[in-house]
Amino acid sequence: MIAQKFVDFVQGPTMHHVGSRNVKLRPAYSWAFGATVNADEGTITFYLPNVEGAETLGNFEDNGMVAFTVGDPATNETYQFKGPSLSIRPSEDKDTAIQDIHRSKLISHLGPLGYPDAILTGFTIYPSTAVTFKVEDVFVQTPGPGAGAKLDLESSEPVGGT
Amino acid sequence: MLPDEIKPAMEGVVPSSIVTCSLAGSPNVTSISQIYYVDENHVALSHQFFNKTHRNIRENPYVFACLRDPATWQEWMLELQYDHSETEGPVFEEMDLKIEAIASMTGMEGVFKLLAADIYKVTSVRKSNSRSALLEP
Repeated sequence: MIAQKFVDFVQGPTMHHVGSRNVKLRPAYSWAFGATVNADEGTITFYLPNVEGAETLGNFEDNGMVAFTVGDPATNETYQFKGPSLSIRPSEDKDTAIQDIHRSKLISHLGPLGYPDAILTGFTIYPSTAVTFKVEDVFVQTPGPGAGAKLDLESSEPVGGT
Repeated sequence: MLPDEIKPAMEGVVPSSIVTCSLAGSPNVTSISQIYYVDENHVALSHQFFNKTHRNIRENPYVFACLRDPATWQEWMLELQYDHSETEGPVFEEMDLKIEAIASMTGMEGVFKLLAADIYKVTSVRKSNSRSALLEP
């Protein structure tokens, strides 16, 4: 079960960042653009643009370790979700529709703050790959001394440790 | 190795993203306010807290970084390897000043204190293919 606060945050006007690593423990980074949460099953599905996704997808196929960080660029509020990948598949029409909706939300959110639409419309967000992972841990990632604190996935309250 | 055209992405206007990995194999992705240009083969990352990123780098020195040019939004992908830390000297002093300046611009004065300037060797650099169109600078 994933707390509604996290569902709303992940599916809201937030930026999505993906971390992975290869068999030699070398890290890799990619954007994701758009995500959905299945609160009951405790999973998140995010959409990895293929244009820069090959290394990340290879890492998931190798070891399945997912780090998914979601941040609100207007407030800096940020959370990191971690867990194993469960499925990897090509995005379908309904997935790219979710990506379009996500981009529209971001444009509406950031426009009043002075960010030109072209920042977001200039990203190549599909074709993409849908990656679903099981969320096992969630951490505060908002910049500052509290970053790294572990939260309870169901209540979103602090549980201590990292 | 680092071209001059990457320097605007190192001014701290747009946060950079970095990924590290623990020895146990858990990746960690977070944002950092600035990646500092030291010379054509080295950059510096600020060490401000004893957080997961700091612990990972002490266990496993490799970092993947994504930087963004604030004028064009061209993204740059860098692979880095930790080399050493500096707690005094010109790189440390410049980073300390810039961190406070960035904090004041984001309403976070007094939150950040520089403990060390961590110096990394750049092992690869390339432009990202993430954009179909760049902004006009």
